Amino acid sequence: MVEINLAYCDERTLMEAAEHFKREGSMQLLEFLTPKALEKFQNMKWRHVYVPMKYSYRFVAAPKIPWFSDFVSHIIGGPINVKLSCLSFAHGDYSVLYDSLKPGKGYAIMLDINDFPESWGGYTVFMKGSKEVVRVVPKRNSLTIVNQNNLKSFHKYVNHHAKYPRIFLYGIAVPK
Amino acid sequence: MWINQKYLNKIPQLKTQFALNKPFPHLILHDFFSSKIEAVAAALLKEKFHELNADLYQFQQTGDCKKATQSAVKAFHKFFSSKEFIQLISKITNTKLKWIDMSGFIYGDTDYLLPHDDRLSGRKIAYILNLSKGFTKTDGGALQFFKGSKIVKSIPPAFNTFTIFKVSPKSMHQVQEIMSDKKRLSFAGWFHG
Repeated sequence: MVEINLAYCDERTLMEAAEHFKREGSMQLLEFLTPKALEKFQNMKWRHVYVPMKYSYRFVAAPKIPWFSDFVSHIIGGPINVKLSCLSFAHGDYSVLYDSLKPGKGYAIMLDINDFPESWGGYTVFMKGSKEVVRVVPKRNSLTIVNQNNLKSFHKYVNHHAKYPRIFLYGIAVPK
Repeated sequence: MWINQKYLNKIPQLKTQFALNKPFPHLILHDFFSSKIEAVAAALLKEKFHELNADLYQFQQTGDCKKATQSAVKAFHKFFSSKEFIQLISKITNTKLKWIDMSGFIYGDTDYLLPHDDRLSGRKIAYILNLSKGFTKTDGGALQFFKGSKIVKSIPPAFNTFTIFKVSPKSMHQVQEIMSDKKRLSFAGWFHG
């Protein structure tokens, strides 16, 4: 069972998070899961996907988290559908803004499992045209939600200084 | 004299080799320029470089070298953009070429250029002249050619190696990440039709 930090079950905290998200269009919740829940993301059997001019990363189906959609719905302010995958970006992995990439719809959800220093690359950048509008630098056990309507995103190349991969749950939440 | 005499004596062979090379037409010409290129490399380091950082790349680049401040770089650009040199490359590549652009590049630790094919209106032949010394395989910085999703050719950044290739839907290539403190110095750009 993947369990949430009980602090985020408090109605007042949830309301504040929802207000922040409405105001800013993005938000990050730290210490999101219980420490035990993080152990679920170790020793995964990754599958590599590689299209050189588009992306290189590894993925695996995410563990089922029954409460997750409801929680994100509270923050976003309406019912959503979200399907999560577990992604890993190791040295040499990346995704780019390739020509046929369409602007995003809905909300990008990232639940980072480990810290990942910005100097290693691997962070997620959201662009509006040629302007960077949000940069998500992975923090251990953090949930990030970004309203990605009309934004395109990429994952910065992970360089040789990276000591381990960036591992995170990733999904797009679409209003029902 | 800018070009190493040994190459001027075998233009027909170069033309044949260019067309035959796989995975797309190209040539790798070691010691292509005369020893004058040593002074050009030293002068290039005195030009102003700008840091560029995006999804596809991370490196330092000068403006177009037609606006170079160093006399040795200006002189090299003058030769490289001359009618005679462009005609020579036209002959080798069997492609009608009209003009060039040229920038200087420095790739330092963790810098890279991800896979792309260079296709943009007017670009016919891409070129890279490497001007760094002492690179080994573990330093990275190789120019790498793809066939599908596989790297099939890796060209280490050796001093005074001039690489040209035909820009086409097949010309997917990348510059491997630099994995040491060494600096990969080069000129690169395109011959336009």
